[in-house]
Amino acid sequence: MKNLRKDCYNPFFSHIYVEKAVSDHPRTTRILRQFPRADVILIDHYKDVFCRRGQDFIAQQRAQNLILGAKHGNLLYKGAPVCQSFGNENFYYTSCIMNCVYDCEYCYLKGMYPSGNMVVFVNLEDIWDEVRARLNEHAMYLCISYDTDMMAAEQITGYTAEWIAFARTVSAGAPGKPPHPLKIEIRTKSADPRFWQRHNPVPGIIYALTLSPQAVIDAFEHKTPSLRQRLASAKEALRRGFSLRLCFDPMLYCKDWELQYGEMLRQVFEEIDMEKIEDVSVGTFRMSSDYLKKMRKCQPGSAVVQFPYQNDNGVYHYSGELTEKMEVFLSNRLKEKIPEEKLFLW
Amino acid sequence: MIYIVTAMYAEAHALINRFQLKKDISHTRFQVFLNREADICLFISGTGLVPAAAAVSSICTEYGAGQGDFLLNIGICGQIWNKNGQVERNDCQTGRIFLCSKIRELSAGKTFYPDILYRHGFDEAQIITGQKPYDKSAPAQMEGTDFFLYDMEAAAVYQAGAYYFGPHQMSFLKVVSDDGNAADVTPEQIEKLIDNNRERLADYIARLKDIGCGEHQDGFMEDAEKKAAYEKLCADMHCSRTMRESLRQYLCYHALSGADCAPILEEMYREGKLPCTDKREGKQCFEELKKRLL
Repeated sequence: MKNLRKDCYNPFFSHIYVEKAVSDHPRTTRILRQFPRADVILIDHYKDVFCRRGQDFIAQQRAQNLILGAKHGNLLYKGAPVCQSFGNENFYYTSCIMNCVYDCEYCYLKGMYPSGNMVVFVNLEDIWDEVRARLNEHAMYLCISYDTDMMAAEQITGYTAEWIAFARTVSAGAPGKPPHPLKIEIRTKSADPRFWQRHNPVPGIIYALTLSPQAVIDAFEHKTPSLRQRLASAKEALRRGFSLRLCFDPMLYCKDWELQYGEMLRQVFEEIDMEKIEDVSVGTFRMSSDYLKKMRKCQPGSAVVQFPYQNDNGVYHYSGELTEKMEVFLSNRLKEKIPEEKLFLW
Repeated sequence: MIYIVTAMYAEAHALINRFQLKKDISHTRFQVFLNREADICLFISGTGLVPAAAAVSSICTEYGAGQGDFLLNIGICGQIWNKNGQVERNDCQTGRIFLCSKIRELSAGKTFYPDILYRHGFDEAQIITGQKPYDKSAPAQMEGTDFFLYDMEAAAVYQAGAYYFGPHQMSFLKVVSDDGNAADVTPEQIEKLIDNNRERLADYIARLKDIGCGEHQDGFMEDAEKKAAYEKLCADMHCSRTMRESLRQYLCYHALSGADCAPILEEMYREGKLPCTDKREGKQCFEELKKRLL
């Protein structure tokens, strides 16, 4: 049956808001060229649209619009305590894109941002300058796809390719490279095998693929590729020699979670040569209480956000007993295939 | 409810007829026309920023406007002769209707962006709201802008409306009546301009009503039967305020995961675990219920 309400919404990126200051920027021109039918509305500052009062994240995500602007002020952020650093020091992340083309019900972006529209900052060079400056002081572990899924938006922005090119200029052997190494993590749920064919591996870039059971994908990870597609993409990445991390994070509870996660691992082990995997992360759902409260308000019909989590020190999570049960289950199964030092438990 | 605000009666006339709105004579400050069945409330603010803001504030407070509602500002506007704009529009497009995607208040220089999330059949345009009628003999005030339309209410309606509605709940629909000679436009002409766009406006209003904003309401507590069962359970377990909230969350999740809690509760009543005699017993019972619900 057709969903009439869904048909009431405009198509994605029907409206593109562009900061006047970047309206002539080459990246703006390149992105706009892909949407010749979009209504372009000039704005003074991205926050004039992104930070309006009383926005409906969920409705906006159904008819997601694009905002192009320049990022100023703080361009690199210290990694949040609820994020996995994989044993790296000087853990930073950067947001050259805010919000995502995917629609995962449990995603913290729904609690963090006031708007469901996607913001793309076109002044990448400013971020790169700051990364270079930090690399003159110390090594750096930088996550560039935290507040978005950069690879999922690759066709629109081409930013992953640009970051790869940047990473090459600061990698070992590059002329004039900074004295300290840069390690970049690009987290994604995307599954375009052509990406691996178009690019070559660059030392220091780790692609972190989030995997979930198909039942979880169907229920909560809307518009994302299936598990089978993600595994096919991972297989291709490994075949081409890319450094790959598998993220079983967040693990989500459902009545038959053991069955679902067991079946997922069966498929993973069947498709993926686990010896080639860089490392693996496991973590059950956790969320800052401020974000979850907002998400519960805007998604009253979502089982995953309405789960009766336990709140400890401002972080919602499953009970200690359930957390341990779920994480031990998955870790033990993973340890059968990978050495313990490659397993990072939240 | 769909709230429609117009500045003048002539702008409202066609809509009052189309939606069979009846005058609510209890109002003295602003003229209000209602059709409860159609869930439409139209009110006439008077011309200018202050009357528009006052009317929106007064009516929306009185009727408790908010989630699930929409605010539409419908009326006539002038067409700006913008010599420095990117697009030269020298022919006055009288009668053409626009949905505004950007609104600027001329005096304060503030700009507002209503969301354009829903499909519509209108052209889109940007509008300036000024304090006095647009005068094409003094176009200097508009130089360098990319605005195309001019009115005297939109920015005020947006700012007052923002206390009650989100940007996805407000729409601004303007019909071009003149290109700087508003004083020459008669009420009859205004009525005709709106009347000519009446069905398109009605289609858009029907679409907004279809969409509603009820999706974000608490589905669990909306069901009267479930709410009554929840209240009974709270009483039978002697729930504190914190326990009540926690219980609501458990029951809500249980329902959303596609399960029915009735058999579980019936079993607990059968086993004599419910109702509880005091708070202490209630706490123990709640712990057991939580385990059974997950």
